[in-house]
Amino acid sequence: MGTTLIALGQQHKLLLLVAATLSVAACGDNVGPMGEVVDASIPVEFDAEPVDPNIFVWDMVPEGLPKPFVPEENPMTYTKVELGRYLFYDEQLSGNGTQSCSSCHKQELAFADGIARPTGSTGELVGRNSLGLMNAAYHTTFTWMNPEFHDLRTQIQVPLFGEFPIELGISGNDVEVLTRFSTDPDYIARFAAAFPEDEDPITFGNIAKALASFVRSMVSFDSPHDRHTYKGDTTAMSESALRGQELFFEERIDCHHCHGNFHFSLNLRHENTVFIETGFANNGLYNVNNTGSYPAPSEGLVAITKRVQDRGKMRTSSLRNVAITGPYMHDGSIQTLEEVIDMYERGGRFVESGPNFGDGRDNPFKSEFVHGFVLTEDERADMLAFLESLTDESFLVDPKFSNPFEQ
Amino acid sequence: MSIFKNRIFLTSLGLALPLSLAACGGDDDDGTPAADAAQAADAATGDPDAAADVSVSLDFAAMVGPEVFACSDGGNAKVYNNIGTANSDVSFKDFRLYVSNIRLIDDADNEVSLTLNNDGAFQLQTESDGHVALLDFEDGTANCSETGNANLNTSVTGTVPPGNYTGLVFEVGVPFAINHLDVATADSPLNISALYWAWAIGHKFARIDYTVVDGAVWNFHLGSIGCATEGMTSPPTEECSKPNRPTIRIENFSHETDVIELDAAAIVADSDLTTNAGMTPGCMSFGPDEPDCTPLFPNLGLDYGTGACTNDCSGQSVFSIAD
Repeated sequence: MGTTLIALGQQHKLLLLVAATLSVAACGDNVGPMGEVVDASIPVEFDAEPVDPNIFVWDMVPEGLPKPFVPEENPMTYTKVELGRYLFYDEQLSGNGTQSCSSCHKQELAFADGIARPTGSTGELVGRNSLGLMNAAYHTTFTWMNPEFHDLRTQIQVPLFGEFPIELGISGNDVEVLTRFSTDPDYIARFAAAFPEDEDPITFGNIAKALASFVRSMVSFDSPHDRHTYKGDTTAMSESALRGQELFFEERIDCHHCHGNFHFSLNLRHENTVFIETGFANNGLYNVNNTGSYPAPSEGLVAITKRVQDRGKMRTSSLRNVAITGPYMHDGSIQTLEEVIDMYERGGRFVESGPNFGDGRDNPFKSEFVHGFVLTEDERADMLAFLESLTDESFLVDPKFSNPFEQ
Repeated sequence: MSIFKNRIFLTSLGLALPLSLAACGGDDDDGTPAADAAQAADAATGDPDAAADVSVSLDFAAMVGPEVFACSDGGNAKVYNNIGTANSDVSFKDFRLYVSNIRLIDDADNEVSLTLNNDGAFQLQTESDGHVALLDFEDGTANCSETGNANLNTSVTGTVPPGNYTGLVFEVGVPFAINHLDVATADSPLNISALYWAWAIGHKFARIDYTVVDGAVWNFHLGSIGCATEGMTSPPTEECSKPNRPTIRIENFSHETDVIELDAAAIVADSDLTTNAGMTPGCMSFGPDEPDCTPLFPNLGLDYGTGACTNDCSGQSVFSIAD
């Protein structure tokens, strides 16, 4: 067995055995990343079952539901996912070594961060609210208001290299950042395992591929709603949550026109998707000076398409784990789910004063499905209970997605 | 869209492979093309005397009054004038509908079912639950970008036994047996989120969304309602009390030369698009009493109160043969 494997095992004692198999895979050509001769024929055991690190099994997707779409150029493997996990939590992946992806995407908050808008590694305020990452792979497009990001790998370039604002701040520090990984034997082994075809695997392209694979692996289907709907557990949801579910799908409330499938978002793409659907909508959050505008720097889809009608249009995001991914909306300007329901009940938000003055209810570009409704107090409680039944507690503590440096 | 093309390509491969295997057939095959064709026909019909089925393409065109429908015109939303009782100027946000139970009528008045080509995208032919095809006239441009996509489909292709066909009959909608499947697992074209309501009500049979210029959106969503289920996330076990599937019968129709027009202006000829009389924006087939639907449904031959055809839907004014 190669020395690298032993070193890895000692360094991260609590690593899943799957992770430990990385270095074995790295030695696929019988030569390890450090030039050592290794035996690649050693069978790898995981819970007494052999595991192939060069595949990925979507065992968290309930039977009958489609798996996420995976681009051909970046197939899923355990080795890539595991490398992505290390990179995701590693502050070395920022220009000044102070932040990682996990600085703004925290597992205990379904990988949102609990604040309105995060601050990048050099102190700049980021434009929009950190999105939760559960089931990110089921989205058609990524981020709040860009219709062009159809691939996680592409989108991930933004936090890595973006300068307006700076997030992880790698631009201008590229060589330094890459050197941190290319001089670390642990990472050398992990990159070699994840990208066995590449002569020089430690590249930003592969970093983005590994991060995309890790994020794509963040599948969440164990909420009470899922157990009730897909796993036959008729006791998983409370009576109140079930009543709330009926309301959710009613035409009177109309939540389901934008959030009506298993993903709770029209912005859904999976392995069997034929027709691409994006689902961007203006929900009446703003109507600055009654022009239909949303405040800078988040004007909506119009920022990309330059079509006036796209003012205020944001991606319809999944509602999974919504109870813990507040504050809400693209700018985190609504604190609680109760207030979100109030906003939709009113049919849009009235900003009474200040630079964003205007009544979102009258936004000319607002979705017709945000038409307002009246809930009784019981119905309001039921709706909340339903939204809370979308929380997958096990996802928040699943070791597969946890910080490998804290184990 | 490349993904879409890939899928079609794969589907074609999937079809081509078994066909070519069949053509290479058994040892007793005499190897002539005629014998191959006869054998293929036997396999398709189970009848050794049956002549090979013939291919049929039914071509549709979406109109708005006398004008051809389009989402956009030179980059902006295309505007149509004098629509509805308030003579509104409108553009469109969506224009898609499902057709099913498609039959050609021969000169002896026999109705012969079309067997759709399964294309993995716009057409689905099931073994025993009928077929459905999606007509998609929106191209995802201008206002159609919100719910639409770039793909278009204006024809339905399939096969029928040879015959002298002089008429066409079909339904707008999705057959009950496949209408209430889970959108997550259903085959295309039944897995499109924008055309799905929920298990209980199934699919939007038609989604034609009008936007009044300088005004509001007025949607026409046709679908079955009154479906008895245990909840919105459970399918009904028997047909809904208001199926809302218009049966469209076209006489003197040649599938070889005729184009079937459907007119979005005719759908709302008796509707005031500047007001929203009911609960939902426009007519969305929902609720026991929806004043936006009551005047609209007869244009499709339906009665809103019963959800069934009046006089076999013969009074419909939306579909016709193009001049």
